Amino acid sequence: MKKFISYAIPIIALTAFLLLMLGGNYLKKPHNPSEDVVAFVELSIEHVKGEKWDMLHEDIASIDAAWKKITPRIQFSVERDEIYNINLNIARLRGSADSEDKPSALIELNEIIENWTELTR
Amino acid sequence: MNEGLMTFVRGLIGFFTLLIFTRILGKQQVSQLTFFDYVVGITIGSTASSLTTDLTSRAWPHWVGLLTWTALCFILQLITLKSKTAEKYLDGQPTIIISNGKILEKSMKKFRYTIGDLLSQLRDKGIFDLDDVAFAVLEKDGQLSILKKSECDPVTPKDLKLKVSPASIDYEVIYDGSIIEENLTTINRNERWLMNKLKRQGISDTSEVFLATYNASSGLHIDLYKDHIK
Repeated sequence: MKKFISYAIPIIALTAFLLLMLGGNYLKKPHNPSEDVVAFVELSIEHVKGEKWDMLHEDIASIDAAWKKITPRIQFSVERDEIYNINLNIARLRGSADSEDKPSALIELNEIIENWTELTR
Repeated sequence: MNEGLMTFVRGLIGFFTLLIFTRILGKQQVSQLTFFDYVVGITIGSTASSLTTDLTSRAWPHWVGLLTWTALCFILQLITLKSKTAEKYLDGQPTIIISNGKILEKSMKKFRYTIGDLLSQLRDKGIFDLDDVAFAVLEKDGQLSILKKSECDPVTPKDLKLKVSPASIDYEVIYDGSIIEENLTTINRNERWLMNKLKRQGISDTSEVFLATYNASSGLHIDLYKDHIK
């Protein structure tokens, strides 16, 4: 029993560490629709293309809220800068929406998708 | 995102991974490490440190680096264990520096070992006169092993044909006021015997004792918390 425990403890610990470090890919997936960052971003792209700026503001709030739910889950398996990059994208997107700058908003939204895909890869 | 929390969790991962990996690598003493082992140790430690504090990269690549170095080190250990040739090639071999009292300058030059190093290591062994040394061997880990000239060796009880009691090791029977039952069983004694011994020395409770050891040849040695030093 003693020997079993002495082997089990390091194996369990290493497995837990591996799950924590590699679990990001699973943890970034939305567990409910309110966490679906990509869906909100895709919807935002449609709204930008149609220049529906009021709806875009709501979308940005939804993206931000969803992203804030995902961040704590994935923070141990990603680079700090990957999180910062998406935060910056959201901030710039908010600026583009305020100034109703269509090209800039589309750039930011597409960059969010790219940064999201790269996250935990 | 909480950077403090990220560092804390990554610190836990790094610390316990390092602990587990170093336990796998074995019980070599720092003094027994070769230069290569030493460098490997530093690299593994440095990788664990980056894993903890370098938040600009993921923990995973650092962890893989840690695993790779440990695995390679472990494989080399196994190879050197199985093959004498590999051991010689990978770990090097001891070199004679002084032979029959003569310093072998060529050997010293080969290993960039200076006369200062030699004299310092001789002094470390309590030898202040080169004439006392018959052979000196520079070991793989940089330690110097010395064989003194026969006439300089200290006299032993064997030389004087003296009868001495056989050497035996100490067993801790009380540490920090607690009785270590396991060791009492090993020496075929029990708690009652121990308490009698303590009472004879005026000790009523084990909590007064910091350390008590038993040696088959010298008996019970007791060290109390109260040292009564004036």
